[in-house]
Amino acid sequence: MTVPDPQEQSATGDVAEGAAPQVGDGWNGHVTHLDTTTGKDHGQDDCPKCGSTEISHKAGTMALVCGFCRFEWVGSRLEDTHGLGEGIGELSGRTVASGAARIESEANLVTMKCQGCAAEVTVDTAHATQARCHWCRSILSLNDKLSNGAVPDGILPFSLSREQAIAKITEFVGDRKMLANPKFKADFSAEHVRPVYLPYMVVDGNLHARIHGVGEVQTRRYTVQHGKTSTTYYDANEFQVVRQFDLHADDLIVESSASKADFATQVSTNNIINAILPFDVKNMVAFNSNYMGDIQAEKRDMDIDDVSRATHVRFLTMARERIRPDFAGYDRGVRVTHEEMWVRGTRWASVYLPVWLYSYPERDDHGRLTVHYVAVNGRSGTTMGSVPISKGRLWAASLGWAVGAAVVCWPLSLIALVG
Amino acid sequence: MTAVNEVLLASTGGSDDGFFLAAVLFAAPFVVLWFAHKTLYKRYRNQDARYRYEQTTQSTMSNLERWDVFQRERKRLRNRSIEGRNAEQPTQRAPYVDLKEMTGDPGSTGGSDGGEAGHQLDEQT
Repeated sequence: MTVPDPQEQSATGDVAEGAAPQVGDGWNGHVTHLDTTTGKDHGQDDCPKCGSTEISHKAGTMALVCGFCRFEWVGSRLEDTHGLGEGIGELSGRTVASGAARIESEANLVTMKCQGCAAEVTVDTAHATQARCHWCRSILSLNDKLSNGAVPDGILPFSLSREQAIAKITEFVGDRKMLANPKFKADFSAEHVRPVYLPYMVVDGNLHARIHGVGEVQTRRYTVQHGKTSTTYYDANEFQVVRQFDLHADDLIVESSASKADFATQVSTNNIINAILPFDVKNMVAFNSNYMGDIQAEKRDMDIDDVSRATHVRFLTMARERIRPDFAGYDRGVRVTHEEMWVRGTRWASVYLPVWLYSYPERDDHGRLTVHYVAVNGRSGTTMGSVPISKGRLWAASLGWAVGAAVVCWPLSLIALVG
Repeated sequence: MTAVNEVLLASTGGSDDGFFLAAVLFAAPFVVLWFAHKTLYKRYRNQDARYRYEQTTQSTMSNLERWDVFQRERKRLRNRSIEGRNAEQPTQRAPYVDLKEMTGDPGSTGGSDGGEAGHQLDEQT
């Protein structure tokens, strides 16, 4: 990208104003639906080779494996089957995959009929998408989308084993034990880490951005002597700066669980879970309950309307980041005064992403409870955490550094004063 | 204003240099105390850790148009960089923000003034 030299711009005095972008009319609520339903009934989901329902995720891979005949197969990638990575430039209005549709029901309990023995089995979809028939032991699965947000479009299975997650968490906390809260140190056991699938939206955006600002280019630097002191002055040319461009955003990940989307809360350290993003969502496969097995999931409880504003602000931040290098010619910097963004089109899909989570509740002196998390990305192994800290030890360590500095600085201070 | 600055600067010169250096060295341990407390707390609590989506999310930029219009020449500025410099902080919102959700259909009326109806997100601070 060529960065223009502002020095070469003519002093026209014109108002910098771009041509009106082609953005269409204001969005009128029309939604284009992207059908990701399977058409399958809830209940048994059989091995394609032998018909057994004993299907599980093969650890560390994208494959499902039959526990009876050991046949292995891999679910279909949503990018391939529904073209989620294509046509971002043609997106118009909102395109919504079936699993990201509006939540119509609050009901968590879903009753399925076992195809093996005709018994009725209830599954609590707030935490699970499978249940075992208590009569014939068949595993019954939610095989298609539900109106309560419990079944997403896609899932990324765990590729990081429990042992690897324990090692990551132990290493992270081990590096921070010296000043940690003594009770936390006594209670800490990485064995208590648990796997969980958290709900997110994956969003593509067809965007148009216009950034206005004021930029300065230094023309002269000089020092003026005032008696025994001196002052440096700068002369500069001031420019009105406008940048207008199209931006196609691919797979922005957005929280869709209200309890995890609030980063300002004092109740839990949600920013920790946010910090282990991103995931390789390009590899997500069509949702299949067998990938989850006994692993709990948190049900999506936020609709697109609930997260669209935060998503658009993130798009705007992405636009600012992309245009930043283009201001390099302004050596005294740019003050951005106006940000405009037209969201021409978006595409939304819901997905379960794998997280290893260690949580520790801490009650402070005022009785307020804060849940500290140490989280590990179940795909990449990225680890982040919040370790409860002992205030006494923190002050002692800080004072130690300060005393060390005083031992060096204060004698020198006396010498400077006397000398 | 410049004359006042010159007087103030002159008052810190000469034999007061030793006193100034002594004051800086005296204050240094307190700065170390503040910095160590802040750094250690941050290392344990990571309260500013977040998803760097603006750097990690794939995006394609196209049809870039630039306008750089000379406004005026400024003299005897005291600061090394422009006042209110914020282009390097993409998460920091500008004083005026306008976000609009559109149909994206180029065949319709369009234009920067289009889209007053529908789901519109405007923010002005």
